[in-house]
Amino acid sequence: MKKMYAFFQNKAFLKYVLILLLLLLSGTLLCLSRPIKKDAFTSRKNNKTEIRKNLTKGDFFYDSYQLDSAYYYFNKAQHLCDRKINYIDYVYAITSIASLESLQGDFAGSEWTLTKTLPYLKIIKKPRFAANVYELYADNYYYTYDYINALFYQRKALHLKTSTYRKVGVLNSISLNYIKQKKYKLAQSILLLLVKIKPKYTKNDLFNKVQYSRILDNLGICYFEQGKAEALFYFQESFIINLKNNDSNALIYSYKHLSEYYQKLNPALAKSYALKAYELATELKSTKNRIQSLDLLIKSSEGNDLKKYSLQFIAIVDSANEDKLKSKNQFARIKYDAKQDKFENLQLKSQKAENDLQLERQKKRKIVSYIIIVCSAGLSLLLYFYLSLKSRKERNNEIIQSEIRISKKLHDELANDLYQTLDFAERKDLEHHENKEQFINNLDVLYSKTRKISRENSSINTDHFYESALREMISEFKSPDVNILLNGMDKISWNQIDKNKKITLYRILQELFLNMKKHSKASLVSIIFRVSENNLTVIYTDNGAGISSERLILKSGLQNVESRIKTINGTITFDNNSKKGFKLSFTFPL
Amino acid sequence: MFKKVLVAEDLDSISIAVIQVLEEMKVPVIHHVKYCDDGLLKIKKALNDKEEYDLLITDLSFKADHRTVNLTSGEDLIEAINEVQPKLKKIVFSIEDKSYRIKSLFYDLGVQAYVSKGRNSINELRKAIEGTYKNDEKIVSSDLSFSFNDKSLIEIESYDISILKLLAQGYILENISSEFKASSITPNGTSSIEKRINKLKIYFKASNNVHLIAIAKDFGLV
Repeated sequence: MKKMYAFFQNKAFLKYVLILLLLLLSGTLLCLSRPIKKDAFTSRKNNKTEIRKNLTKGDFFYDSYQLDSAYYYFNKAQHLCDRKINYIDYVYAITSIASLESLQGDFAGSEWTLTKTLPYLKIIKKPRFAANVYELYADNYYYTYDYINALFYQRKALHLKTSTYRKVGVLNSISLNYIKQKKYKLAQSILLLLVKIKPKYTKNDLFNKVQYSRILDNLGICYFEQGKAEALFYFQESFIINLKNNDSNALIYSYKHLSEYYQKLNPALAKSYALKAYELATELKSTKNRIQSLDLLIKSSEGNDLKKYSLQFIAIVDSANEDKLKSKNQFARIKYDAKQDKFENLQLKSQKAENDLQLERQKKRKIVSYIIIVCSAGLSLLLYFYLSLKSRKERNNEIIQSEIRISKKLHDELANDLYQTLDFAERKDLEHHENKEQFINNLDVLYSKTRKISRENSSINTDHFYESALREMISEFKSPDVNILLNGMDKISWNQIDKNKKITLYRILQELFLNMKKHSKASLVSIIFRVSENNLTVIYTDNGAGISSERLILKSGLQNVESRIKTINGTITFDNNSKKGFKLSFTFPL
Repeated sequence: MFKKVLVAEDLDSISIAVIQVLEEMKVPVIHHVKYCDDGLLKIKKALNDKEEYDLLITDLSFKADHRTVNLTSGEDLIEAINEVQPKLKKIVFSIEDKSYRIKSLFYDLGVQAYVSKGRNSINELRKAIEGTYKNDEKIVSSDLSFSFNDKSLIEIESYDISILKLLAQGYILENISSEFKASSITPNGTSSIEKRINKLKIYFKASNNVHLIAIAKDFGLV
């Protein structure tokens, strides 16, 4: 256990851990900084604006009567909608599409389209969407001569809590329905009631007038169908309003109805009204109205005109049929494209799901990364502080150690001699030549000793003089009694070795030699330098007294050697086996 | 004798002694500076005035004080002077005794003499000045146990180790010689090998070949 703890205290090991942690930290940071894939589907808000954009475009084209473009955009909007979230937009888009289909005369298709909206009508709180749907249903049935069903939906629309304007509109439609059903009395009673209401259904005055003129027109039709003369009054009233409003669409109807009214009473006037209706219809490109007005023209014409209008009539009917087919095809194409879109949409949806999954994963990864970052950052900080504290401690320790050593040396080597010299100077007469000579000699010894101590602790040259400095240091221990053998020293490229390692090596060897001089009484010392696999091994051998046990090692100052070698991540081996002499080898990485 | 001498020394007591020696030697012009920068200035000025110095005596270490200096040591000063007046004779008078540093003074900076401060240094200095005047080279004060070809350390070369290894394998002198010839190791004559073995015996303090091998084995050289 203790060994384990010591292992964790090992500076080199901790340094590796620190580096590892830092690597981990940078790795996770790199991972995080990688750009996260953005997808159109990730943002719902984005989607919503996209839908709105398409709807507005559709509305624009609808109003400018570019039906296929309108169809395209409504369809696009419809596909973009997530039916659970954008159901209002969805219903609006579908209703618009149905209305377009209805306008093109595809009433069955329109009806089928409308059924898609039904599940959402109850969810939508605003009644005008439901009213739109019901009115469109009613229109579809009305145009397909199914007046009963049309009436059913008109009533449904009427029961909704909508504005007065809308209700008036619905009632107008209902009355028209009754007229078609030949229930003139019913229609008349409704219309007469409506006429009595002041035409202020909504704030928009134009809308009020249009609606009011419709009431009057319908009432006119009602009387006309019953063969009553009041019809003319209402037709004319409506006509005046329409003329004032410059409402071309409504004007066509007014001309048509007036023409119908005068058909028998005044065929010439009827013809002129029909012609006006025809011109307006042509201007507005309303095929249906053109056909109807031509029909009226034919009825009120004679001779060449009759033939001319008849021919025109046939041509228009033919081209109308063609157009109808064409437009249906067009819608079919768009529908097909839309289906393709839908397919793609599905694909995108699955992609979206995949993206969501990925996002989820990314999120998880992010969290894990954050945890790792925080943990490793914390650990690295801790380790860093621990290591720096430890190294500072070690350094302090070393400083204290060397201070103690120097002070001890001063005391042991200098103080004694100095005291003797002092004593000598006190007791002897220095005027005497011999005494003076002795005194100077003593001082000289002191001087050289001081220099030696200073040199031993002076800074070590680590530049290109290092090898000579090392040699000189070693050679100082050579004496006639001690031979020092060196092997392999010249094969080491000292310049490539780290400065601190050189200093440590110098100090270790100095320590070993000092130890040798003090304790071992050796006569032969060898230092062998070996380089292998980026490690430098130094083997010190002498034939001195040797060291018998580990206790002695600790005592004899070799502990310093051991602690020094550890600071450069080296290992040291004492050879205790040899009875004679002392052998020590240490290895450290270059 | 020298006509004009510059002394660069920061300690008064020492410079006084040096000046005294020079005066005793009848040097007419003696200048003294305490900073290396001043020394260089004096040299340059003298060159300018065409009254060059013919000797420089300098210390190596100068104590740093309040004055900021460009040249901080005697080595710096000599280096700077070598650029303006390379032929000036130089004597270093210092406490330094590290042989490699002294060697570098002679080889890299081209000084004529090195005198170590010590008990007999005034006499040594006088001898060095005289020697320098006589164009002697590489004068070193005698109290330094220093020589230019320092052989106090014994290098055991791979050649020696080869001999020891072969001896340990029981080879006799002739066998070693032929073995060396075979692997073209020189010198491979029997007499030179024998001389080498005798030298090794002295190095290892061995009384005979067997003892030599035993010691070499103990020391892990073989």
